[in-house]
Amino acid sequence: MSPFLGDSLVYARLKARLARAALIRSASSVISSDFKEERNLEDRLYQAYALALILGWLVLMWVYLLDATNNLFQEAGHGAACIAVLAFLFAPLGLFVLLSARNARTAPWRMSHADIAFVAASPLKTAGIMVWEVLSSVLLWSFAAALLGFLVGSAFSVCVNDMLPFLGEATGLDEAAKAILSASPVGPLCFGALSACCAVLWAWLIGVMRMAVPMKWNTRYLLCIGACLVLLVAVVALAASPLFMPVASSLMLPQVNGSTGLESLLQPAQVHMIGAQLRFIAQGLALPSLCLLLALCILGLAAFIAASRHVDVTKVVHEGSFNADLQSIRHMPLYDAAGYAEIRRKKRLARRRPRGSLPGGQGSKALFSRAFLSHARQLDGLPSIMFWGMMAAPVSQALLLSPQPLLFWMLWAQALLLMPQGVREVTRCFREDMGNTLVGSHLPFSTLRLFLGDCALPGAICAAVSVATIAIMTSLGAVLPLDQVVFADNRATGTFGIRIPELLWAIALGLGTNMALFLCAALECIPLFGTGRQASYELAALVFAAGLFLTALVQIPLLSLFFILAFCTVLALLLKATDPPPRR
Amino acid sequence: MLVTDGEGTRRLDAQGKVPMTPDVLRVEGLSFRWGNRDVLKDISLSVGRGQLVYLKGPNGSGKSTFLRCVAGLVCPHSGSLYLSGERFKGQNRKQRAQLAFVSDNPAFYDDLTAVEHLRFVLQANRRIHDYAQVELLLERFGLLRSAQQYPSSYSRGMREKLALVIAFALNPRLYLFDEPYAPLDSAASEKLSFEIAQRVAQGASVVLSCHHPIPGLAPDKVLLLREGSIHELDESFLGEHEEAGSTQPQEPRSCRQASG
Repeated sequence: MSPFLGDSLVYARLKARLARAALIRSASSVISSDFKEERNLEDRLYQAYALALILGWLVLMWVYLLDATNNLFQEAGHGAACIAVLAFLFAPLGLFVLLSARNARTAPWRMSHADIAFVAASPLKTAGIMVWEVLSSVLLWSFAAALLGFLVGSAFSVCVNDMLPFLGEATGLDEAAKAILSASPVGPLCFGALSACCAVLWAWLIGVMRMAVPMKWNTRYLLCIGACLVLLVAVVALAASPLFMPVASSLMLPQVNGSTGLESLLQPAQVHMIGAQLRFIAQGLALPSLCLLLALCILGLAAFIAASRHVDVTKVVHEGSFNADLQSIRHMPLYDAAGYAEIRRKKRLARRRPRGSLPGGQGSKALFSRAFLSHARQLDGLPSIMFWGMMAAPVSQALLLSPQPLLFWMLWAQALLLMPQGVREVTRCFREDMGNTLVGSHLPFSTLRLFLGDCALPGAICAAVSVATIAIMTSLGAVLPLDQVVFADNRATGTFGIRIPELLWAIALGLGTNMALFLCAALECIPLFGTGRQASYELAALVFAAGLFLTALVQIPLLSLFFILAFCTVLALLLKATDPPPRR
Repeated sequence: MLVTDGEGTRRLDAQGKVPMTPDVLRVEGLSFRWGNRDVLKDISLSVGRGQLVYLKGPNGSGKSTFLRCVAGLVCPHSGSLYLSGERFKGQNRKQRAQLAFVSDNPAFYDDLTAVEHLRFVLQANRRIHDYAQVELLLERFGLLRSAQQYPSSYSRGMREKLALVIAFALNPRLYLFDEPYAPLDSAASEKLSFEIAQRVAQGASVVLSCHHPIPGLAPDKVLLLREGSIHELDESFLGEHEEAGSTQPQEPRSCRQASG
């Protein structure tokens, strides 16, 4: 047995043991029974029963997801289905660019402190270790991509089978392409698995190249040029991908019913566009494309093994120290996700060199300056703010406008309570000012002014995202599944433009909702009524959600707006009344 | 008139004595309880303008709790606090600006460097023109070189120094220091004593908790906190311990109840 293979097998055994331990630990925590300790017959029966139950639940969920995706594609129409499949075809490029960017910044091999002590310091060959690391990553991504491919493919094949008989020669689709489009979801499944494998392998190669010690120039040049070429092609293709997805024309594609030819319903340009899209999809899922992906995977793996022989482990240890530190608390998110995120944020910030400096501006402007600098130095929090902007206010609009608000309310309230990262990020500076006894006590502002100054910038970003989402949601109401309940009249009348009064109402309600939720989060930082006790965000948000639900039942936007304003006023008065934070 | 002797720099009146001044801090009947345990029981005392007060007591006697109560950071169960004659409940930000509290483990912003902490406080208070003086303080405490770093990268002593510089930068009337000398080296301790003596000479009042002898400072008052009660140690007691090279009280043989 070659040393490479021997080392690989030793490391593979270690990885398998660790994976088994992690699986047992997770399963034990899920079913509240220790697989290692509780071994008698009753315990084993209970464990088998619980696992079977969970397995059954997973299968049911998968079937439900398949059914829901099929329905969604059919409701959304053929145009939207085409766009979804095109997006799926380009998604691996996005994955490749994202992973490459990450691996260009930090070491791809994430070691724990135990790995550093026992694996990195051992005489095991680096290549043997790295191969298993990349293969485990490939396996994970490929599995996820294959599932997604199956989901998208099965829904698309059902959807496109309705349309194919009505497509004539004008679209330029030959029989082979039609066969691929109408085939079972095996094509998208294989495409997903292979493309994800390819993306992960080449992205790891870029990371490994960074970690490599000097090697022979020819090899290095070859690998560098190859990796850069792949990256360049991926970036260019990703940038050009919108050209293949002409959203506007696809959205106008109507449902095809009866035996009418599709060309008779559409303009020649639209027919040409649809044909081009379908041809592109068929080519992407065809056997030559899959073979090309497979070849790229093999090439990537060979290049990876060649490069991984030269990896400098000290560089990997140095760059991975942050992750090694976090490994010791990796189970913490299960019990305290917010605490884990806070520790992670602090550790990450402490490792960085301070970027920029505090802008000028005295008095209240100093609060804006500090908030700006804080968020500029921690851009990691921006996605959660934007996600909050896209979720909290827009879904509340659906709740308010829907004739059956209970479903939306349940979704919305769950999201508010279970995903408060965004609203906590918006109020982070305020929380820090209120908690800092040394500096916070000497800021010459009332609590309300502190809140407004600290939250103005992230709040404005969040509000802008909300407004944009609401505007897009209103204008594209005919495509989204929400349209059946919210924008039914749009579809009936065939109008797809933005109605200004509706939009203004929606924006006003959305902004008010955002402000109310920010104030709910701010309540966590102040003692209530001089008792020294703080209200939790969850409680305040639940009260707000319940109130908004009641107003949604009445379906009078003015009443909803009045409730939001009243709620904001009460919380603002609470903030104003309770100044600094004395605690018992 | 400023006089600097072996015990520090003091401002004396025409008769060569510390002048009588209105109370900067007055505490009446302060009580605090952790669960069932009475940490502070009916404490009354006063601190005049330009007074330096030591607060002593064994570990767990409630020194930090007392200082936090006075700073308005925790809410006492009973009793009243007066800052410059006005009732203080910890909720009035203008009143809070009159005092600076430096805890034994000061906290800072994670995303501001040391110098940005100072600039932020000064900018918010519209006193950025004082920055040159603050920079001198940074230099005096040996922080100027590392002023562009995050405080999270500082040692405990450096963090304490930064907290002290922030407190001094604000120029309040009353300083509350919780064991400020504990993490400092001897050179930094002397600089801190010099700075405190200067502030006291300028009329500021300082209450600091300590366990060990402090170089270069002579307190106007030494308070002993034990079993929830506070006692003012008299001069004879102080003298005995200073001669023995230690101000750490072993037994409160000759102490009297501190009074307002």
